[in-house]
Amino acid sequence: MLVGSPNEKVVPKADGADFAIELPSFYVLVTIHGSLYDIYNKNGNDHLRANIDMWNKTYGSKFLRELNELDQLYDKLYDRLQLSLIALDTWKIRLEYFKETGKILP
Amino acid sequence: LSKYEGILDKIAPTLYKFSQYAKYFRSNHISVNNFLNFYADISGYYSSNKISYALIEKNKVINYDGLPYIVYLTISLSELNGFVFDQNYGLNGFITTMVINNFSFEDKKLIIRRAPLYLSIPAKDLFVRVVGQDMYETLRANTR
Repeated sequence: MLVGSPNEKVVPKADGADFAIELPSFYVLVTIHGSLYDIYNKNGNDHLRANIDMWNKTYGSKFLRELNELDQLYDKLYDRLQLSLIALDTWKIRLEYFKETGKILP
Repeated sequence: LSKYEGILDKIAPTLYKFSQYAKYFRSNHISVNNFLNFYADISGYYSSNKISYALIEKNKVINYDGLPYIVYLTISLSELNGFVFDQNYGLNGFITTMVINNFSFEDKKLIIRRAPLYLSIPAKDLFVRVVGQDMYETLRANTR
């Protein structure tokens, strides 16, 4: 199935990736700011940069659907994700304190 | 920006922050183990029907069709009934999954090992140990 419109064609633009976002069927390699470097299929070695047109034709719509589902989940959990980051920061501070003093804050 | 670019542009900075915490705690895993004073015997996937969402971080070789292999830190946020309990990542998945599920599994027991004993502790006790009582209460009061 082709992607919905030419405007939705998935095209890599970044020169490298900082980390990967895992979707049910893909690993999406992106920069900190979300610029796309590549997309690897979990099953098999197909990836976007190998053949952009073929990849879009074969996998484009599936990728867009899965990314859209992640987007909805992200919006739904946004506030809790921000609180999670605060919790992780606190855990980091407590660990640093423990490393320096050998004591655990209450 | 096309729609997919807009989505990546929106979610990547936040997910990247999680990856940075994972890297930090992974590089401090000895201190994490000393802090916890136990070793989790759940070396893998912890499941519970009280969990609806999970954030999971793991290192993964992705471009496996040629050399050199590159290991990427991957982040997944999905509807799952569990999380990866991994002290080597500083319990990031445990902490985040606890919060995004609104503490739904805080009374569930976790099995830990403090040689030579195996102990069962409520998830809440572990959560409070790592973030502190004040932060726990703040999060409970502000999570909706």
